[in-house]
Amino acid sequence: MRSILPGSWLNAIAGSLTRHPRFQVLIWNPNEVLVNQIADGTLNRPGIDITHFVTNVDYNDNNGFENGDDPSLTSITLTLNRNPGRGLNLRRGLVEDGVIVQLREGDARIRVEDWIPTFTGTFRGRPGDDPGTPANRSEGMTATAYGREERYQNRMVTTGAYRLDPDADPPVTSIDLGEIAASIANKHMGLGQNEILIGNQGVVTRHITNQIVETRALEALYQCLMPCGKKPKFDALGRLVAVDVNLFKAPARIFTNRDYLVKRKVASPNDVEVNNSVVLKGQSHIKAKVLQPDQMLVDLPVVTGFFDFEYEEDIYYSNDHSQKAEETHLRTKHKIIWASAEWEQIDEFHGELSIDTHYLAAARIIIFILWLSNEIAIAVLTYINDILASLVEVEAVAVISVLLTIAKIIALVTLAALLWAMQFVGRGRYQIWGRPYEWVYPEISVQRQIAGLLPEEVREREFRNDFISDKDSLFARAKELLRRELVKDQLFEIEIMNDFLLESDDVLETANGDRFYILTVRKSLSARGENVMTLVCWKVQDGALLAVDAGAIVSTEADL
Amino acid sequence: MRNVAQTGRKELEAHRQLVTGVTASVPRYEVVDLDGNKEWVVDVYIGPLEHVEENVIFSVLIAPYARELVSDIGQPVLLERSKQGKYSVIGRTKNQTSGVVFEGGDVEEPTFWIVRDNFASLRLRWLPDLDWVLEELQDDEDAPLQADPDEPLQQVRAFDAFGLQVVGPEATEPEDFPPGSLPAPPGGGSGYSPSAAKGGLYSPIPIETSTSKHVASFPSKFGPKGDPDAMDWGVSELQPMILKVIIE
Repeated sequence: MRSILPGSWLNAIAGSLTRHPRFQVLIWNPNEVLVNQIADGTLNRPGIDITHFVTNVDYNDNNGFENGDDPSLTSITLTLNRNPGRGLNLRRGLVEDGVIVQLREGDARIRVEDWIPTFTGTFRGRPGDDPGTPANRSEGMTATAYGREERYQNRMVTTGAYRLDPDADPPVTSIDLGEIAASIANKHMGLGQNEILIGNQGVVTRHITNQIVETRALEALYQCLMPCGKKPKFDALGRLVAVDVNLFKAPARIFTNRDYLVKRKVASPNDVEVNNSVVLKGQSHIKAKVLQPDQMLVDLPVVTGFFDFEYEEDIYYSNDHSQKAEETHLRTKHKIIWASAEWEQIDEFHGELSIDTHYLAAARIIIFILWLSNEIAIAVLTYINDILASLVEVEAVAVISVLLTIAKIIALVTLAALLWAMQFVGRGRYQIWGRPYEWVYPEISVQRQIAGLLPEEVREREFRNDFISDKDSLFARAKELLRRELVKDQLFEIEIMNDFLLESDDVLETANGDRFYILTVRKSLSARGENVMTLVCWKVQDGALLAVDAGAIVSTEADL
Repeated sequence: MRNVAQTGRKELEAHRQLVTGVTASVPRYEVVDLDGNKEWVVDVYIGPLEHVEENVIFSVLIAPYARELVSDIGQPVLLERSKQGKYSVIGRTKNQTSGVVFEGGDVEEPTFWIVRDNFASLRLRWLPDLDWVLEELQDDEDAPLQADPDEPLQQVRAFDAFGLQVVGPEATEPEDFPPGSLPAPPGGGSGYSPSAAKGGLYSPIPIETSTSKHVASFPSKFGPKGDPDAMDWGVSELQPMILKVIIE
């Protein structure tokens, strides 16, 4: 609702039956003034008053972003008289595309300076121009202006990353969604700090990295504010605000005087098919672990070095060292003889395989030394044999020959043993088994519906917002969305005397306790017209049922 | 006309839909047509639906470039739904659909709930067109305020536009009130009907019921015999996969 000082004349007039309605239309040259200056209140230049050209203003205040993908625009259509009898001429350039316009409403009994702005926007397109004919002197121009949200309808946004930092001092473990929305408005929509009336909302995101990617600006703001139960809107001054969309919020106006101010209240016939079930999907801020069953990760044939006392190697679970696994263990397919193998997991990507081969190495060394000494012995005996043969010591030569033969046999046997020990005994085959895993974005969702529905009776609507990351928030928002869907066919048209306070998304209460949530405000302002506004509303509360509840004494512990 | 292939491809892409899911079986090589041709297929769970038991697509063909990526049960995968409505697994994804569990059927972290509210829970009791009748506190000054300590001081009853009672003890416990034992409802009507009570939909007491629903797929246990999660020795194959819905 608009801000009107309680107790002020204007507020009193808005609630009274006596009206002297007035309006004022101001325009600014877009080549000199930015709409930002009007919104943040820094404009010192007064607007050009074209009120005396204006014969009628049709005002249409729509609720922007009812559903996140249907931004509807606030607009005014001016009917202007080119020559209002004062010798003045209205050029089309004054109401043509780009010109900034503001509508102010008040009462003849109030100073013009105290009237309140009810619309700030920009003319679009070429104004209609009817020069009139000799038979029909209803000459005039028509021009339509749209609210500031029109500028951002097609503007795409990709923000930077809003990151949490649990390791910082102090740790940053959440970011308020209002802060993100304000940042988007400031950095990506060009709004100044004084134009953004979105503060911290008390609802935070707990995702480590948050980013809006390739989304229309207003939709990006809507996604940030939806978990808070709000939506973005530009107010009458062109400032960005977060509007509370709770159907049961406190009413902006309560009619208590037998509804004299209410001219007409009509339930609109409609064939709106009401959804009775909503699905709301969010994303948990704690990643889900997708754990695979125990399986072979690495198959490893091992050949130890000839004289290695141990074999140690880092084993990764994939060729690119990126596969994660847990509960890893070693399986031996073919054991290296006289060796023991151990496996130790170092981190989620790899572990260390250690094989103790010192017994095998010692055996090889012994065999090698034995073979080497035999070879040396063979060489020495051969030398001695040659010497003895030259000295013709036949008996000694025969003995040496026998020894030589024995030594050669031993050498051959030890050589075979050595070759066998090196080629065969030192080979093994091992496998690393474990459970590969990865972390993924887990979706959480709730289907909220009215009780007792048969499957064929379900009419469902789906919503998604990844900022909603826990069960309680999911349930609460889904309940609000379901309420909103259920009242969509409870359309009422209410005609009341023009009330400056009321705008779309406000709640009003009539004298009998009925409450209505305003969707659209339409009014036609003219010098001689009726000073009424038409509200298209959803009925959200029935006063008669409140009376039944108020009259009931249902406690079983009544004070007697 | 421009490049027909380009136009055709764009049109196909316009109808192409990407769906995320989770494998509900291990990939298997099986016959896919009557000629006996075989291909690698896998069953995929595509997300929760309240009135559909498992919501699993069976025997989805795996694209050849995705074959090495999709190797096991419980893997988040990406499916393509073509213009002709055919699904195929085209890769892996980092988004896990809600409502699935694969650790032996134990739901450690629920991800999908179904919540049912009555009108009172939503503060919309006035939505249906009902006649609400509040019982008199006392018929006369000598009448007891309550016959039973468990009874409310004033009974609230409601009747729909046809005169059927939808709120009140007669509507929810009809066996205690034989037909004809009560005066006719206001505006006439045929009396009460328990079906009209519809699980407390119209009750003035806020009622909210919440259940979680998950699809579990896991290899059957080895025993004990007769356990619904155990394999049937000598009858079924070794450790066949079990697919079941867990509602808690």
